[in-house]
Amino acid sequence: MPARARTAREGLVSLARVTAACLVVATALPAFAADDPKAREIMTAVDEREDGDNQTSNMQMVLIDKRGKQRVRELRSFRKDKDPDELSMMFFLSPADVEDTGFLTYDFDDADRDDDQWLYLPALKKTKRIASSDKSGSFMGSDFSYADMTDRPLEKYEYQLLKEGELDGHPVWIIQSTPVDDDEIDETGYTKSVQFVRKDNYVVIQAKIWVKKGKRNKYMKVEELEQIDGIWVPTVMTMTTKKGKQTLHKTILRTSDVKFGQDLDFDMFSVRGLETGP
Amino acid sequence: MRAPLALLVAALLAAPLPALAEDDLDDLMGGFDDDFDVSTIEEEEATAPDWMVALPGGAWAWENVDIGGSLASAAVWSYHGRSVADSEGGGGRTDYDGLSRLDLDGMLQLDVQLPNEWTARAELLAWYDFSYQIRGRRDFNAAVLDVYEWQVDSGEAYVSGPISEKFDLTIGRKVVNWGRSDTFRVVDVVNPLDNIEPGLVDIEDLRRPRAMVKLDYQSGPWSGQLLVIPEHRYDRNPPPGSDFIPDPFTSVPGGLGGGASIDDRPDFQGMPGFAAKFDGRFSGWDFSLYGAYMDESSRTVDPFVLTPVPIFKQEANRFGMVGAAGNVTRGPILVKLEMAFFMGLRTLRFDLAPGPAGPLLNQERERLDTMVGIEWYGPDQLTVAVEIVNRHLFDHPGGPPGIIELTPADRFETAIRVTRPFFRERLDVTLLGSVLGERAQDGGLFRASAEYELTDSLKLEGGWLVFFQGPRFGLGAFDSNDRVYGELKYSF
Repeated sequence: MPARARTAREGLVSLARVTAACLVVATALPAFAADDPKAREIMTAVDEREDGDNQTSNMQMVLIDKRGKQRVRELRSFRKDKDPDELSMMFFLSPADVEDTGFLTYDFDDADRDDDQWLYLPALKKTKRIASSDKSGSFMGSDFSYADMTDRPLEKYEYQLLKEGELDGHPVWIIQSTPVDDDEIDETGYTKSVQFVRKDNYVVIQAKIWVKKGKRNKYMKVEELEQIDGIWVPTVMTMTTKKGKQTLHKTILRTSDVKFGQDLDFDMFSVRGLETGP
Repeated sequence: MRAPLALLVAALLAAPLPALAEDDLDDLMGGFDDDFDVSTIEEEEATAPDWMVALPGGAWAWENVDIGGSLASAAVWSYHGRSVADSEGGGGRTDYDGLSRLDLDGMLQLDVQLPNEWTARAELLAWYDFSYQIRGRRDFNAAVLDVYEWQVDSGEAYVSGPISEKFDLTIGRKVVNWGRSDTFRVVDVVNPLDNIEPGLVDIEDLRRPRAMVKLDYQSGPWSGQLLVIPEHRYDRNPPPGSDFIPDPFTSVPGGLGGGASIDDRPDFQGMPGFAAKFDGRFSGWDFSLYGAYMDESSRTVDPFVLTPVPIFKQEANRFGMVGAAGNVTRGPILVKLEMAFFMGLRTLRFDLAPGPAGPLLNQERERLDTMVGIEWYGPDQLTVAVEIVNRHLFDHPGGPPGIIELTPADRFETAIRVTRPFFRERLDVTLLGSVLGERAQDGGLFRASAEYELTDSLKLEGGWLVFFQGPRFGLGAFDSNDRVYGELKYSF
């Protein structure tokens, strides 16, 4: 199994939700952080923000190393809610050697329940069940992690409102999130971060994340935000990994051709759908 | 110890909530001061070129036809190579030390999107190995040149699509991969294998497609598959005179492994094969049930009795199989199980009171194959997989006196595979070890390989393949075939 294919197995949640999901804040002493009711209220609104259903979209990830060399991954994504859970399916469109590699995930709302995941490998003509793994790893070699791609449960964090301000002409809340236990830190790999939440639409448009491993920081920025069928969708995002002031790696994530309310049948999110292709 | 801790907690909670000073905010914003302009990287939007739109059906073809494939060049160096009897009775030998392969390998795949969600696929595979010209073609026998020097073959070729909401139909040449194991074949009986270079055949070329009619059913967690397979194809194995066929087999007059005549027949003659499976997939576990009645993918060696000196023939053999497989996941652990009961297999045994057929007899047997495997998905995308398979022959006498079986009553195989990507998945490293016998006494192999992504479409792969010595047949006889290899592959 190509590692590139294998490692995409958990990133099936809509990338539109990344801004709401990935950017948690942790401190070195999480047990001592206090929860701010107003900050929690804001983050609850962020979590409950309408993210649409029966969604199809195309994704392009441009991976840029510190010398500026670029690699490109393109995917086709399908997502459907099965309250309270979510079904998602994703197919590689490029690079050519992994074209049609597909991933199917049943992402359960219950944080204590493992996701069900299958991987279709066209070179082997085989669909393979995959076990859950460390969510702190890189998603498809990008600066996004698996944890960035999945909803993090609100109850696993404590929130603090640090400041109110303005960013790119939009009023924002600056909020710190803190995991309530070390398990969450181990799972996400993050030890600290701060998020900038737009007041008018509850979208996280910027965040700084402290990474536990390697004393690194990650910087997320929503470069373009569009309202599609009434739903706010970050259509261009960047995630940059830095050590000190040195940029180690950067990822540009583009989401295009986003459509909600498509005719997606539950049976489509099956091994048959995976093997049939996008 | 508790009081001081409580005091510390109280002190921390009593402290004012953190407010973000302007200096802190500047520091926070500092990391975003990146002069990189995202708009400099344009989104690739593919549109049909004007010349194509101008062609009749050009716009339709741009939307519905996809041509892909790969072009690769590979080199293999055998550093323990030996000389092998050429099997043509002249007493000559072929030296297999040094350059073993230097080939150009191409694959072309055509996909067409048809109306009503039907699709068509056709694949063409071809290679030419220059090493035989370099080493001198006359040092190799015709069978070796026929198998290894060049090849043009069709891959999958089929049409497929829905015939109702829950049923799909596929007609054509297809690969159907059954089972849960990534290394061993237990219930995976549908397609023959390409074994011409054991341990090195590309995974995408490992299975040979067969013409079939395939009906798939899916409803909720349940799915099923029915196959009618009129085409009979067989495993492609190393020919006599190659470095993977040991001397004792090629040098026997009339040949056992090499020189036995092949009872060939047209690929579409005779009764078709039939196969079916039924699956259930649930949260955390799944199962499949299998059944098959078809020809074996390898021919059976049969002592032919009409002459005073036995003549060995390789011929087709029909078998029946019922099997089951399943997965269970718990956290980062995946457990894999497979079991298959075979009927009508034929194996060779010695008869110490030889009759007209000589000392070898062919006997119909039953066999139970069982595979247990476990995969662990660790940090940094490290994956470790272990699989063990046992193949148990029923009614096995256990050896002398009187009858000695060529095939043991129980045959164990164990494989361990470790994979991990590095440098943001630019480099993939795989270590694979596989041994035969419950104490690894029957030989084995170890392969270390690495694949490096030079660009999105260009990959460089290198590896080292080592065989462990065992009995002088099968994997155990390949110990003098250790080799290193490299490949540059362009995919489009």
